[in-house]
Amino acid sequence: MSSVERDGDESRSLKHINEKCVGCGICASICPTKSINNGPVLPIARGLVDMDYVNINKNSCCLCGLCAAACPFDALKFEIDGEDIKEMDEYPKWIKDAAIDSEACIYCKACETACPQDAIRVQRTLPKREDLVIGEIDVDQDKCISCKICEEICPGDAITVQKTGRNEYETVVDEDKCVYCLVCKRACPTDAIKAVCSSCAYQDYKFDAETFKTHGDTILNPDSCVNCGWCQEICPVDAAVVTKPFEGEISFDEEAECKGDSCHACQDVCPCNAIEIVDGKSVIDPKVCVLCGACANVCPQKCIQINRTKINLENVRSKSWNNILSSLTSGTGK
Amino acid sequence: MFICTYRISDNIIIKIRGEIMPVTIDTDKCGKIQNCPGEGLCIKICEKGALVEEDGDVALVPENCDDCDLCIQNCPNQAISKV
Repeated sequence: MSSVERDGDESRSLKHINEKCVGCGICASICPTKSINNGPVLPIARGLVDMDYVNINKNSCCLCGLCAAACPFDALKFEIDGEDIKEMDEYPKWIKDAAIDSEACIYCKACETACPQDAIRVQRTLPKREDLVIGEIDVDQDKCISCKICEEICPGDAITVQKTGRNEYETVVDEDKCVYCLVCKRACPTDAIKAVCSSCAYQDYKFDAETFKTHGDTILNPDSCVNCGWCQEICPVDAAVVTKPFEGEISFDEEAECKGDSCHACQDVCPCNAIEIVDGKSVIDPKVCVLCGACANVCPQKCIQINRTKINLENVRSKSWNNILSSLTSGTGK
Repeated sequence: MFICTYRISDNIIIKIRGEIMPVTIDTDKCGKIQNCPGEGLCIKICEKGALVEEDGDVALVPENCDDCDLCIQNCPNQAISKV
């Protein structure tokens, strides 16, 4: 973890959090004193070298905080007298966000599976199985001859014939496993199995939707979320809403010689799992791309161009910061 | 006529690939494996097996090279280049 700290009228500190960093190079490209350098991004992403994505030159860093304000992954933390500038009124605020509407969520876990950053956890409680079957099986122990035919034939392994004493047996139905298929009733040679159908027995039997519902909680961890939009794309009930840090487009130069299977550098550095190698070429899904530019920087063939049109960073009060930040949206590919 | 020309040029390309190394390593700049900051990073990063270790040094296997330039871009000593 790289950090710079200095005390003057104020105590200012800049900390780089490598776990959150993806090596996109945005901080390095906007640093007014050119104090930030990217490490070898691809070898780091592949785990070939043990280094940080970013090096900060402690001697030249002027502790202005611009890098921390502009990092779309919150990988740089800038504090003045112990207070994070993200909490301060004077400093810019990202309007990037990701949220899951708990009212709409059906706990299908699609987002949990798709999230490239493992930022979503779905905890769910299923309804009781016995509440979902439409009947009950009961055994008339007087008629039962303990032949175990029902135990052998039950497709759900719900019946056991238990020994209760010397030559005494009891046939027990596990209500949690029984699906009321009535196979046992038909197979029983002594008609000892009684079936009670809930919907026939009680005419006014109502399906209580609440009883059948899966309850749960979908928790999105903002610390690891990169606002890529996978959850929003995959959610079948539109419960996930994502606002990305940048607007614009990513384009692929079809003329350039992409070496997909040999190289796949873009795929390895993408924090969003937005890139796949299909038929030996890199294919980018813009719907789940955050336009960070990490892929464009590592591509040896320069196949990828990033064109940002808007940065969703509000309350940039400094004119010079605005000027520098405009370089991110000027379509220079950086 | 057209097919013939095409074949000739195809052959020339194959011949060039066979004779000339796709990339060259500047032995003055290369830190071998021992003195390379990435401990032979080019060998690790090339998944085609075009750069291999040979007695503590880096050796080229030109026929395996796919011209992806990953080694050129990632060599910490900037020792690899194209002819």
